[in-house]
Amino acid sequence: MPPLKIAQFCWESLHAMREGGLAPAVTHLAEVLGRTHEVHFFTRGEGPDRNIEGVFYHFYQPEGENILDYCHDMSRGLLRKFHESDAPPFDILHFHDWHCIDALEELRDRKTVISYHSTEYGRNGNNFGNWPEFRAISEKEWTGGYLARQVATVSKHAKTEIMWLYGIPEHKITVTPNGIYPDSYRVRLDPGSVKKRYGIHPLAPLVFFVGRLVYQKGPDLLVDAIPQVLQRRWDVQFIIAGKGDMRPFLEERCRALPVQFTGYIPDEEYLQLLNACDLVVIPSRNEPFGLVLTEAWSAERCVVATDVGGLSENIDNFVDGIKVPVRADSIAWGINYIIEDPIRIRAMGLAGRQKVVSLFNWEKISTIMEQVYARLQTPPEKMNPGQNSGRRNRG
Amino acid sequence: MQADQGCRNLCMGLSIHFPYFIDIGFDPAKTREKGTIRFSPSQKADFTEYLHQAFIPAMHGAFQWLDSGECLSLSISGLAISQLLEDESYGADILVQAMKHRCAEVLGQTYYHSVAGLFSKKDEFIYQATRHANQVEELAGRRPVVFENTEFVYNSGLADIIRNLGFSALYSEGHDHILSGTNPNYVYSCRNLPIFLRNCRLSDDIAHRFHDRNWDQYPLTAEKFAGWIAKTPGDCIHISLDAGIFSGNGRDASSFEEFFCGLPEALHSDDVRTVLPESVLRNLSKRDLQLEDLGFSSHDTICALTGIQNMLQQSAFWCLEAAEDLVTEKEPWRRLQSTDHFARMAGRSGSCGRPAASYTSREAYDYFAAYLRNLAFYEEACHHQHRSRLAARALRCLPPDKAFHFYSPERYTGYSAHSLKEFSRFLEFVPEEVFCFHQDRGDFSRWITGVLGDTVLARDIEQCTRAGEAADLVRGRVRELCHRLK
Repeated sequence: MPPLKIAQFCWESLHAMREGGLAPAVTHLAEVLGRTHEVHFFTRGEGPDRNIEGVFYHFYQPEGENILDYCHDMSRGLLRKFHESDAPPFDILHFHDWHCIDALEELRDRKTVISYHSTEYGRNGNNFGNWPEFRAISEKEWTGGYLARQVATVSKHAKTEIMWLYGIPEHKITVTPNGIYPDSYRVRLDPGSVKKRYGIHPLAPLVFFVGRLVYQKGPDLLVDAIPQVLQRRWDVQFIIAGKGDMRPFLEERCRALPVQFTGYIPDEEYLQLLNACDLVVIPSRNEPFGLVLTEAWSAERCVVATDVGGLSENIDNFVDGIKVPVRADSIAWGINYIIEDPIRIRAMGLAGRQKVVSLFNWEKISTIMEQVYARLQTPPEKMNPGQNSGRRNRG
Repeated sequence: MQADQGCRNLCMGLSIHFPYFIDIGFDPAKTREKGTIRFSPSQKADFTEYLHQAFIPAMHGAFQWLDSGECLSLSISGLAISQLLEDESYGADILVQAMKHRCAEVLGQTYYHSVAGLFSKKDEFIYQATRHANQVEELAGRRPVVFENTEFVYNSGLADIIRNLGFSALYSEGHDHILSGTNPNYVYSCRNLPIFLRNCRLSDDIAHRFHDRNWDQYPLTAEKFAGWIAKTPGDCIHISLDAGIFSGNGRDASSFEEFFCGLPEALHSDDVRTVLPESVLRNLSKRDLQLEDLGFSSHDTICALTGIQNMLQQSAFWCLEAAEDLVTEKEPWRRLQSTDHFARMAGRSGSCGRPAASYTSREAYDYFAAYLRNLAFYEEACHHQHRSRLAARALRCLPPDKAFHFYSPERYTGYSAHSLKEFSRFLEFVPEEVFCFHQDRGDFSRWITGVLGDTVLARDIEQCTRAGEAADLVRGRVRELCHRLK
């Protein structure tokens, strides 16, 4: 494949503003593609445009009273930046999630790709909202799927979800899981000394949750499971890391329980906790991919996760993790089932590690993404007959 | 063709050990007797049952092997040998015959099936390993050459000691999750000591899965198992079986005996021969192995290889180690070192050829509490023989009802100090809010005075404003008290 000039649009990156799992996924994708292609990354942030790790970063700091105005302003600002670098013209324009859809609308005649890392429906814990913001964001997500020439999403579940929600035809969609650099998440350390820093006995089993404290991620399900875990095993300790609206509610609920809320933790501390804990729990109600899963596996951790979305798809039950229904008592069952057996915990963690190394390495993922770009390079008139006949055959 | 690529040698080991559990129902408050360790009242009956249900069938199987010229290594604790010798049945004669058999080799180990290898001072470990070797030499006429540490505890420091004790090789466990891809079927070498790794998967196929009807390989036949061995890559496969497996665990024991006795013939038809560890040592080349090669940090080593996995086991272990200086008669203390006690304090135990056991966290806690009650009762009985009774009282271990339980204003932190030494260890990492909570209420000084009887330390600790300061103070006091004891 000849080198392409690629523009990535994403509202977060590891080098400026970071919100959640989207930032590492898109930043690393850009870096891997940047090894063979010319990649420009349009994102919000301050400071001069610069080259970081082989990717040209273009920053714009948006303003706005609400999230919609804010993202609209961001799209306008990033569009201006885009046009400044559009000579010679970009071959591929790749948009991530809904935040820059206004820019996509403007550039609809170009070769565009949109990646759905999640949907507004999913972020609301599989619920439709009747408030204006929900409707506006959903509309933008629909527009993105309608206008973009190619659509990428992170799991088969997410693919089904966007086909159902936004009527995107299947032939436009390619599943491209998030990749990971497994070695950057595995740290050789003494778990006991990390636990001690949190006032936890070095040999007390530590269950770790990391993620935004929002309904989608199900921290309330974990919190409700804790008393049932303690009934069976009194010495288990819990650390819940991350920030979000639900924190005061959760803290109130955890009064007198062995739970610590750390709030936002820097990457270094995250790695320490990830490698020191005995079990990672992912109690999400909706999880298109579940980056925490591959991060936990990279650190050879065993996971107890809800049987949803990408988690359901990627975990081999009782081999590299435990899958449970989206219920507090089921999560408690999952934790109780495995916490007594350190040897199996370790074995499952190692099995997970082997899986990320073989299936989720960035080289493999970027190749899939390049194939999506290659499809766009093929002239539509040549592509259509083949596709049509394929559809006829299937029918 | 595949058989040509597989293993040609099988080292089969039979492990014999009868646990010595303590009496869970024992309550010191209800007795006027002199303090000593109370072992389970059903000990004698349990032993007789073990003898007939497991030991005799296992020996029957062993002689089927040995008398037909098949090699078998025997791993038997000194305590088990003594129990058999003391018993007036014919068990001891059978055992001695097996130990003397030309096709058998007895492995070295700690006399009491002990955790002594983990003590920071290695004197006790050396004493027990030597005592066991002497006992085996006296009975079998040969001194053991290969050492198998209890629960396969292994680290570089122990490797040196074992070599210095005159052993030529060491057995360790080759769990899949520990090996991280290292093939257990070769001979390795660490600090010039050859190491054999037990093949846990194949051992557990027999020990755990043989009677499992849900196993996709059920029923396991001798021919099938021999076929697996012949196809497994490596120089020599080491398998260990606990004699308890011969009891059938309530299932059909005869099918297992049939399997075991039919195995040599099946092995021969697959061109696999049985060998002794000693001959493996002579004939095969060794590969270098470092502990780090197995993916271990020092902490992992302690957790994964020692069976000390939880804080109950850790507390009990610390109390046990400290008790060496507090008890006058060593024999009961040594019986408390058996790994069986520690297995009872964990949720699940048993693997690599040993029967699986599972206890609820309540059962584990009850055993832990009984263990400390017994040890504390015994230590108290020894107080009057010490130079400083005050020091002995302050350093003794405490049952859970006298331990110091750390609380924050809202909740129990999850740990309790069962001795002054453990108290100082927890002060090193206890959160400041927990420290202040207890200090403001005067809990520390009250506990130190009331339970440990150390008014000097109680007065001093009242002045501390930070946990770290208190930890230094208590550590210093522990050193001083230990010195006074000697």
